[in-house]
Amino acid sequence: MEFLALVFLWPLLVLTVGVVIVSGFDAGGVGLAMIAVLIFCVFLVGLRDHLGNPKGATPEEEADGVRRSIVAFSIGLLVPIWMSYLLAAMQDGIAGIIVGLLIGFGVLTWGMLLRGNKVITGANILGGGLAIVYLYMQLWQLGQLAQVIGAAFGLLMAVIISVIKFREKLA
Amino acid sequence: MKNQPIKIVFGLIIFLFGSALAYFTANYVSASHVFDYWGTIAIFTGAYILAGIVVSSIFSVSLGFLFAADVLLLNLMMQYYGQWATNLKFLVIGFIIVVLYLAAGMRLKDKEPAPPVG
Repeated sequence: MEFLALVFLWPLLVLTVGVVIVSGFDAGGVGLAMIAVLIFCVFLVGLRDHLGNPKGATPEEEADGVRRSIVAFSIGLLVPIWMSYLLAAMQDGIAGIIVGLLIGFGVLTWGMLLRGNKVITGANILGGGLAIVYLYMQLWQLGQLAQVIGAAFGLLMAVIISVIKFREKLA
Repeated sequence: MKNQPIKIVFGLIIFLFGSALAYFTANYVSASHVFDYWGTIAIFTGAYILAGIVVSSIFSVSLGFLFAADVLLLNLMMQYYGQWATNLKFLVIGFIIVVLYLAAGMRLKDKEPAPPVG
């Protein structure tokens, strides 16, 4: 079983990257697909040795770095794309945006508070951040009341995250 | 691994010829009105995945077939993904995200740096 997993690993990782680019193209056109490719290059070249793994000195360590980059990139880009589908499934209404903001801030908070797994931390900060930016862009089109709700919700979440994260520093 | 460069070359050859065979066959059967182009691509995708599993003990051959299957599958996705219902896309992408989180949580935890020698 372990042997089969090893054989399938790299084709599955390549397929995952392809799925991210295809779904990015579907959700946001050529522009988003190009941005996805650019972010992938940043992860692969710049962040490969900073995802909880030692700097690649052997081929195995290099391969581990590439695997971590692919997984972090895929989660980070798929979360906002999935959020766009969630919003469409809920007919682009304020309810969908509130649910999306809860999930987006939840993912972001999880990433900021998690210890011991830089892959998930990096992926969540990227994915949660992009999802929140996307949702606020959608919120802007729903009118002034929606903008007020969005701003109040964002303020509340920022205060809660700050209290949780910096509480020990105040003490 | 012994003969590493030769294995990579042969894997690449299998990948290139496999992809070419799939596309040339799909073009031929489509032009002859024997079968549908994308149906042929789908059949080759399944066949290559099966072949990759069957010869999994020979890494280079298996990976050649599996990477060819990747290309065909992604091409199929690009053709039909836009036609999927939004709810289906939501479920599929959500499933992939969950699998990635499980993989990252179980297999990609931070590694302790090696203690200094001496």
